[in-house]
Amino acid sequence: MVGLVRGFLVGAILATTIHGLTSVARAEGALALGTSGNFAKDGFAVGGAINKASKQEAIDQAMATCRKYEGAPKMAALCRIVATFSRECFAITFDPKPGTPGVGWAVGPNKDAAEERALAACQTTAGAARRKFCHLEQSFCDTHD
Amino acid sequence: MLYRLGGWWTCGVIAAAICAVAWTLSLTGPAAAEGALAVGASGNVAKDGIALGGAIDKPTKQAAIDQALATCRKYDGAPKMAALCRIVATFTRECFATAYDPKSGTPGVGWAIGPDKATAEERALAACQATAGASRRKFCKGSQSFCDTHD
Repeated sequence: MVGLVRGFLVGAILATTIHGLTSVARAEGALALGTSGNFAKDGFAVGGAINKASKQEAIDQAMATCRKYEGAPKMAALCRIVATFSRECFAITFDPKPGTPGVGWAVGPNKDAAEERALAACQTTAGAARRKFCHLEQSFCDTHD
Repeated sequence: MLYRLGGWWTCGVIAAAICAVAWTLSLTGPAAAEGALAVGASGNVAKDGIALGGAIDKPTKQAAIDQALATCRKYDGAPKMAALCRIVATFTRECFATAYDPKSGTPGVGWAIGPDKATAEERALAACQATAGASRRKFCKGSQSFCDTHD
């Protein structure tokens, strides 16, 4: 009887510990974008974060990275969160030629889907003549615990 | 001999069970829900506007693509953009949402896919608010959102 109670207690303590660990280790991601709405004229700034312990931490990291984005300092001052996510992936694509409007960002359930969507968004906004120049800038996945 | 017959009988039952599972799978296979989202844009939303079209719960990816493109190409308000419609996403059991600033001559627009309706709507609105500019941000509003549902 004593053994049974002891076994139950150990089990309960283990279960509580595991639950505590997994909830603290939850992966959170965020994506920030700085734009005037005129990508061709002003460019854009971007910043992503993954595998953060909390949503707020992911937001802070994505915003900090976006605000330090080189190449478009004025847009970096306009950074805003465009997505938060958990256990999804994000991807960013753009046409690297200055003065062109092609840009795309997306979140998806896996890396392939996020990249495909971001590339399609760039190809849609790039215009027919520049479509083929859209290329992947970055893609990352917020992973399981 | 009897033992052997018994063995074959068992084999027959197992084969029938495998056939039944395969038949069930073949029935549920084509009923998988598929969605797609099409957008028509020149890259200058402020000047040219945008065309949108979505599809959900189609039996195949191709059917979802065809429906989204057809809806996008009939989009009122920006006929020139409707001619430029392209697929920006295909999805299964996710949701899509669109948002825009309704004032013509403004750049705010957003579309997004998400694991649920609230997330897709939040992302589409945030995309509109990011592209609308500070003075027009508050005018961004959700246009539509639909979910590709389970079988």
